[in-house]
Amino acid sequence: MTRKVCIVGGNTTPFDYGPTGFENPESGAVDCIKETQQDVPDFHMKDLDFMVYSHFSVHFAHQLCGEWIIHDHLGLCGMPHIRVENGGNTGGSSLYAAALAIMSGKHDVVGIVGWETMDSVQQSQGSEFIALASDIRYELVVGGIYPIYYASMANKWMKENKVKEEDIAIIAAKNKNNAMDNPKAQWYRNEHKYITVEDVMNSRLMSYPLKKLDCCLMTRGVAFMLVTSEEYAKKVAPDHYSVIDGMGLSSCTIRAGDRCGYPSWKKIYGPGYPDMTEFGACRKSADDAYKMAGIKNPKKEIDFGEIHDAFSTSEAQIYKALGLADKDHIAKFIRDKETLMEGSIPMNPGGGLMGYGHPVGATGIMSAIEAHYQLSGLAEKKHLSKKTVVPDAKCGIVNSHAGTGTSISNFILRRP
Amino acid sequence: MALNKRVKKLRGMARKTAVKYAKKAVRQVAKQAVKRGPGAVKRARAVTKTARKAAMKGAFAVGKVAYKAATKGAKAVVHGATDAAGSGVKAMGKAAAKAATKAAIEGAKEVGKSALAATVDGAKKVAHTATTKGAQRETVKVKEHKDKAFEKGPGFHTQTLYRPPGVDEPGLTFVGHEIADDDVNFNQFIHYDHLYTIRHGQNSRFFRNLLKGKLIGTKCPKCGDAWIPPRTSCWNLDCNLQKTDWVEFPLRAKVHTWTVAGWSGRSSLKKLPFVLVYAKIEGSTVAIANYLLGIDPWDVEFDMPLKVVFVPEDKRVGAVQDFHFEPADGWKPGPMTPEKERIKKLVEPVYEWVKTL
Repeated sequence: MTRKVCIVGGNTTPFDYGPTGFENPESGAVDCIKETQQDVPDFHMKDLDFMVYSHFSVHFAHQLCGEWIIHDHLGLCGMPHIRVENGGNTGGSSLYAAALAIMSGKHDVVGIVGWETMDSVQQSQGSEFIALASDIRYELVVGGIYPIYYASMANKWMKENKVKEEDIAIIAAKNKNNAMDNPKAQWYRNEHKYITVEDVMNSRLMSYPLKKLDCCLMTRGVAFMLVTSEEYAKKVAPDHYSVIDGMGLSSCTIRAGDRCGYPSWKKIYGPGYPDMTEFGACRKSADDAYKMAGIKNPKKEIDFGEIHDAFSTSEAQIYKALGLADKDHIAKFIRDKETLMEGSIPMNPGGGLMGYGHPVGATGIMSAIEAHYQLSGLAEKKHLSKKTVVPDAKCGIVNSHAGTGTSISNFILRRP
Repeated sequence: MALNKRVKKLRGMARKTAVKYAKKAVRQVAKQAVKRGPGAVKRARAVTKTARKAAMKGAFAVGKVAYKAATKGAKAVVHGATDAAGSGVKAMGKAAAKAATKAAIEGAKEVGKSALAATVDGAKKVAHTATTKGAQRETVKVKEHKDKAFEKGPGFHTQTLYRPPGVDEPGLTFVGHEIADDDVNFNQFIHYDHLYTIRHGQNSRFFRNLLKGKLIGTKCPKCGDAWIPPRTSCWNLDCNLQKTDWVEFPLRAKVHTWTVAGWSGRSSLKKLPFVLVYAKIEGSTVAIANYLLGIDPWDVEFDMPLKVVFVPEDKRVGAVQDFHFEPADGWKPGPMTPEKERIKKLVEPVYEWVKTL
């Protein structure tokens, strides 16, 4: 039997962009750790025995191995450290790596620092930097950036699943409005307004069917998270730790167009899947996580989720890949507002990528931190009101997502 | 002597003004040249040289005139001063010198302005010539590479170059900074630029054939799956990395899915709005992304037939932007629908926005 993996605490810097976002990564890491020590006073820097750094693109800072600056700055020289990079799933993959380190028995107290400084270049340049993670030989050179790839996939998916623009706008408004209860969220700090489905529909075209308010934010931000053995968690945070009961990591093609007829998927889920519409890697990693956590009916057994809403459409596609609704019920599932705070399975109470922000290397960590808050009772303290606290939450799902669905991880977190 | 000092100052001012305008002209020329066509930079340098010369010449001329005028005025003043005495003389001398200075500066400004107009005009002409000429291609022989000690390389000895002006490799340049109002935070602006070589290796055949206007993909001799974009080893694990065969594909395709882009990366902003489709080239298992041109963005349909159209041979670069899709001959858009109206409404502001770039 492998060892249990626990989350003891974590925090982010305020997520921000441009003139208002200014902190450097190593100082941001210190701020996050200091705040975690307020939540978990018995956690000391000397307890750490392994560091995992979560960072996507060296282009944004024009700094290779930026983790070396942070690690050194934290006074940790001599301690082992690695950096994980896996596109938008960098945060989730770092959590996966940290969990493996605990499960193996080699390490007991693992710190994860994730960061991205996306405001270091102009926004259209930033879009192009991120798109360097698509196949530049075939896609970037014909004007491709991620909103365009996702829009192409979503356009077909929406037609096939009878999901309308107005439906996905419900998701966009939900996450941005949830962020209005979260003082660290970029939407709260910069735009600071509640929006309606109509606002989403009237916002500027990004790539049909996506409008500006259907898209996540570009962000400067840092996150820190403490992943430990059960023994350590019980010692320093007996009343407020959470447990990673299941996890999965899966992969798909870099070019979405290559998902037509990919042989290995045929063997897993039968012919015709995932095509350009479904997130096969999300379904597979969720299936693995459910199996590990003993979950038979995710919709009933999971209370809430913090999932990778890079676009409102992808959140909808993720619902389906997580098995919350099938082709015939997905549109109704969204329209019935099942994933709003008052629904049966609230999604992204912390604001998600559309509300909280998306500093790529920090994003998956942020999602896991928000889920941990809901399960450890910290959400009431961290959010502005009880509006975005999931009542009596016992089980949450954390989802981290890269490329056009090229790498996806899922985690089942529970109260001990 | 006060008079000489004043004249010296005058000449200095005239010179400074002229130089200032000359510099402005030079900057504008450089900017124009970079913005416009290839070859312009080289020619702009010549124009700049001329401009600088002209401006300096102008400045000297102005200085001379000013010197003469000032001397004349001063002489007159001095002359008058022998007749009259007292503070009135000093005032007169000052006023005359002031007037002369003003006149000289005005003169210098005029000279500078005409120099500016002339150089900008020149630059425009240069840029125009360059633009109308299009990308200047030259094929050059590369000096013999040093022989490898152990293995014969493919031997790259012929390059076709079409580097546009302004694509330089300056390395790291500090270009500015800002200090926050809080008097604590400090931001630095740096610029870094570099060229890359994409070595296509085993995929080369696909890219080289784009130069010829052909789509060459691959096919697995074992399972029969075929690909554009090509795969040089089969993706089917049962085929155990089987080496694939190169095959030519027809220039026909079908839309698999599509979107209408209203925003894109830095390099593509001015092409907006555009239709991007993922289309299956006839015979290919997978879909490839590319522009769909020759259609109103709201008229695209799933499964619509397409033709592959290559740009003229002298414009090809050996990359996928050498071709695009267009509706197949004979295809007609269906009638307007509520969805088409919706897309039209979303797209129209993008046309306007692009004009502001």
